[in-house]
Amino acid sequence: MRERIAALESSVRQGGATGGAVRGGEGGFPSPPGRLQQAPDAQLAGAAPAPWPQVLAVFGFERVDQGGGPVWCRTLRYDVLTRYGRHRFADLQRCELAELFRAAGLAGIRADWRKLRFFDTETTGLGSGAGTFPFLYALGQMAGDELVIDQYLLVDHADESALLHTLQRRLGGSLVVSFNGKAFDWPMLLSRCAMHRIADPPDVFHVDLLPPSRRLWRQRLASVALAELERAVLGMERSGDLPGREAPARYFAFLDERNPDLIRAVLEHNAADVCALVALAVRIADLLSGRREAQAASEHLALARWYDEWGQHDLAARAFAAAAAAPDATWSANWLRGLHHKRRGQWAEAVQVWREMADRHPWTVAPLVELAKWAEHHERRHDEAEAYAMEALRRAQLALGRVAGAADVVAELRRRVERVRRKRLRQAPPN
Amino acid sequence: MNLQSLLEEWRRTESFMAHVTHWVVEPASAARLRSIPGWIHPDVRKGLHARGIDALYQHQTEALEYTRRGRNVIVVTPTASGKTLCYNLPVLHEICRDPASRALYLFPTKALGQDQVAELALIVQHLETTVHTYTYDGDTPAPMRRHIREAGHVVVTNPDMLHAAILPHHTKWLRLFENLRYVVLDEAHVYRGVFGSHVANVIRRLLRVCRHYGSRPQFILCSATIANPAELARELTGSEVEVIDKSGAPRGERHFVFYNPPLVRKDLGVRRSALSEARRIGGRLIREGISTIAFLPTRTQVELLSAYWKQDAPERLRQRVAGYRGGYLPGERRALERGLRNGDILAVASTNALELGIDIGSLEVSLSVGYPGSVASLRQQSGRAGRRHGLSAAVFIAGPSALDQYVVHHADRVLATSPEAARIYPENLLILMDHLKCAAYELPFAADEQFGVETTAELLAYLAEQRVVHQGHDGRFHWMADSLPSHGVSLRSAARDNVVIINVEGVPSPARGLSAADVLASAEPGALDEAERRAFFAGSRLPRPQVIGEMDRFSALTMLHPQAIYMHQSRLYQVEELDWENGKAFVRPVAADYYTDAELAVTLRVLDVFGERAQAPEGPVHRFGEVMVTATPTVYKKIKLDTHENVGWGKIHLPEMELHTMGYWCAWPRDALPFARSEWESALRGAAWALRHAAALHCMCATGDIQVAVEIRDVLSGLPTLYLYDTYPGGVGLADRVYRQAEQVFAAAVQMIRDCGCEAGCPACVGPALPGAAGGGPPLAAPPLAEGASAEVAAGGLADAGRQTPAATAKELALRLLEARGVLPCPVP
Repeated sequence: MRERIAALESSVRQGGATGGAVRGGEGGFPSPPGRLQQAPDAQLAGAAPAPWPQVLAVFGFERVDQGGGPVWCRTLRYDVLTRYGRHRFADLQRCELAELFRAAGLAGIRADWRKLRFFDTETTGLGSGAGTFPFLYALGQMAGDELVIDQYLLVDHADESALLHTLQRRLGGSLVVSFNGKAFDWPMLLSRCAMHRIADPPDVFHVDLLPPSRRLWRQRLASVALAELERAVLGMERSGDLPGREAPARYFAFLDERNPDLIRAVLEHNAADVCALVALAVRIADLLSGRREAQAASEHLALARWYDEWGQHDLAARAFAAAAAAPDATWSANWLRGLHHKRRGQWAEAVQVWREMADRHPWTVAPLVELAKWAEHHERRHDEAEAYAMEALRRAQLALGRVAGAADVVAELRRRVERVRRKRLRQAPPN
Repeated sequence: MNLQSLLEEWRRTESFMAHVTHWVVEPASAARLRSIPGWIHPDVRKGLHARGIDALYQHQTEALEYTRRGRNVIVVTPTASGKTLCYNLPVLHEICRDPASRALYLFPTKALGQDQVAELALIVQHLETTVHTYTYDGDTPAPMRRHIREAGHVVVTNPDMLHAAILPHHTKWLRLFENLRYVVLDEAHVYRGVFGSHVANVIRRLLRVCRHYGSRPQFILCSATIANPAELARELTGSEVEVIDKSGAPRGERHFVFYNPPLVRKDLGVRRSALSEARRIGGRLIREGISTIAFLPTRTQVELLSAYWKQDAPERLRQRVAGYRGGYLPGERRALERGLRNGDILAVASTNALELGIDIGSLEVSLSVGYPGSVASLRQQSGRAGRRHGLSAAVFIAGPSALDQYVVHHADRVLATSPEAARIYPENLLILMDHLKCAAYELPFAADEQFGVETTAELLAYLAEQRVVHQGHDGRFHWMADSLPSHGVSLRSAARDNVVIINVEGVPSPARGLSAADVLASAEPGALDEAERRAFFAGSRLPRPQVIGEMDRFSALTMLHPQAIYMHQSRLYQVEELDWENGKAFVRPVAADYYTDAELAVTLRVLDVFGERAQAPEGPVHRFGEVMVTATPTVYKKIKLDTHENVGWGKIHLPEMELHTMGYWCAWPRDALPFARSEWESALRGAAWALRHAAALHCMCATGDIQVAVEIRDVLSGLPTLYLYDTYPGGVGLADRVYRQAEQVFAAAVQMIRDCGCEAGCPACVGPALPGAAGGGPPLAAPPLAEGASAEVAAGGLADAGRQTPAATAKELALRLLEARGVLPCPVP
């Protein structure tokens, strides 16, 4: 039977894609189709694999029962004074977690650092289907003067139910912190629970650090992957890190060969990710609370927008100002700052921003339009409004044919100029 | 003029009736009504009343009673007999009774599903119970998907979505799988052959997931008329299914007209094309204002016929003629369907896309242009012109192929006897393995769990060896690979894909320095910008390469090799280039007076014999078993059209193809017939050609699903042997079936040859003439010996080349072989 399947499968693989394009006429022999070589069997015959307890002991994994049934678990402990890049783990205990939670859309949740569970998984693939599953779960938490990371490794599927029960107990009622966990790790855990008919962990609030990270650093960094943030933001360089996509193959090979060297890098990568989560949480909380000064205009701008959303106008104004003042300030930093002042009715500040913009960027149109509106509706100085509108129109005409939509802008500005001119003539005392 | 008068006129017209082989009238029948059962949920009853339904047809109440008793049912009644209520009523009753209940509707195509949602909505809007019905397919927007998974009472989808999107993500469909009460399979007859074998395995996976979540759904199937509804339903669902095949719906009088276009070249069996006859007959119907639908085998022909009709129609009717086929945008198709329903559109030319139950109302006349491949399909098509009241007519216009000719000559059999059986073969090892992987991905396998076959454990052990699954401590097999197995499995296409035939007429020829492939690439939008393209084509109208057909790879070896003459719709094309890797053959119309015939050196190695029987001690022996087919095309010959003279030859350089499959073979004792060597060859080849078509008819499959090979002196036995094998790797039960019912297949083949209008055997009945062999013309230029030891056929032809051939025609020889003692007639034991 097995030979039959093997022969069948190989004949199918061989069929079809042999030979290239065949032209008419004589000549142009295609190379003869090569038979697919059967992959040599990698498994060494006869060599009995070492027993799991012995293999896993290398890393300090122990068979424990934390109330859900026996599972393989190892615990890593780091002193809270350990530095991870520019931060210490201890910083978590004194940073303004409430700010972080608010940025994650969880305003009003009591953000107690004791309840935080830093959560990361390694899975057998990137798909989200029922056959892809996490084989390694990590849970990090602060305990006394240590950061404690528990890693749960699955080397036998028969353990999965016990492992899920364990996680369900440990995560229930906690504040989960992850990176992209809302889209990936957490649904994966719930899917496994659904499959094993185990209830979801109850009363969990989830802070995913990816969305706030994106907001803060997307403009500045090529990618907002955790490893890149670690390098560029946290000031930590990992050496010899395993690319995440290689983890599944390592794991499968490890199951077959039980060679500890195969899984070592996966375990380390996973633990390092949890450490990075802690430092990243601190960094974001510190930026939001002002304990750490933002560096780039884009960071200031991200903070300003949060403050603006939360109605913290003074903070927002300061952040907008800082963004505009930063050496890498962009047009949009100033623009957003101007709009912020306008919304708040701070006309003097707004007008100053727009004038500066109009001077600094000889091509820009929008601040001039704002100035024209302000002069027309707020100051009722139609001559001034006309002057701003005329300048805007002149600039817009330069963009004609070069910028999509410029024609609409020009048409709109012509109407504006007409209108304020009529108003000016009506208002002006007859000569 | 109404249809009645037109039919009478046709009857009186001799020139028309000369080509009518059969004219059958089915009288009208009255409705058999039953009252709505008292136990039906009052809400559903109210919904029916609101739709003006106060009584049900008998088959509808039968379906209700069976499902109520927990049985599975398959409803096999004609088109427009109210089949949808047979499943909508039990489902709605159940949902009204328990709003947690869920139902899954599977339709073979997307459009059908959307149509059914619309129909269900008509009843649902009158219910007090809220019933959410949603289609879930590739077009469903992502934000809706979550809602559908949670709240959809009736989820309408297709087997492909179930296979690729729903089952692999079953944890997201918890609500559905925990509460699934009914699975509906409409148009179940479509699930046959390879597609059906896949679908049966998808259903196995579905039931596995249901078991996991604790539900045990009942099945309701609907099908066009087939011979074996109970068997098909059982094989698809894995459980016993009650058959409901007595329609209680009324029917108007129906005429079936079988029309065979006149012969224009008797020697070649060439008839006037079915398309031009459809143009003429349809044109008349349109002028008379009679609503008409024509079914054509290809999209190109749909375009052609609708264009012809438009051109021929009077100005006022032009806007009411349309074409309908796959490739039109959904919105356009919906508009066409609406137009057909409300009568705005008078005539439509369509591919089989409209054959299935899309609601287009009922038309007066259907034209089936060419045999659609199965009697069930033919009936389905003719059912499109069928009304519950009033007169209708179905006209079959035969094409030139042997199958078409058989059908047009045996209309009585086609109509009276049972239609073909829809066969599936879910145990095909390749298909089974594919779905076993998918199933293992979805849920781990218990060590003693069975998936369709008893050998499941052995198959799982094989997958474990391949490191695709891993056996856990608890003995269960778990998926263990970084891939989604369903991605690699398509339910619709065979493992070996086809070669598409592309007409590059008018496109610059490769001789000018560009290959046809380059031109094709350039003609695809986006490859070159419009200005460049215009410059490239030097301002002329831009001809675009057009796909005119497709062919299985095995046949392509001999029919689409470079320089081959390819005949299509009575036009001759020459193959300029065969891109074997990408499955494209580029052809260009030519004016040639010859056709080509390629030698395929086929080596058939019998791996295992599963069955053997003989009718008479000295008669031929039938066998069935596993075979390995190795085919290499060697040379092709150019053969003059009229005289069959051999006017040249060339070598073919194509890779060897290997096929591991199931075969049936028949070996004759050498002294069974007093044939010379060349006569044996001619007889075997002619018989094989006819048998292949007869087997396709018998097994309800495409001719491409079966191949034949002949050996004058078989490697194994030394006897003249005829092989017939499945072209799908691993076999899908066709050879097996031919083995068991060889007598019937032989009888059909004999009939096909006898019925052919030709005198001495033509390409339609016994296949292309074999120069050098008996019955063919004398060879002028002898082809060289084909390389390879297996050139028995070619060598056989040569050995007798110089000898005076006997007067027996190819037709006679094939018939004598097929009717040799021990083959016919004899009852199956």
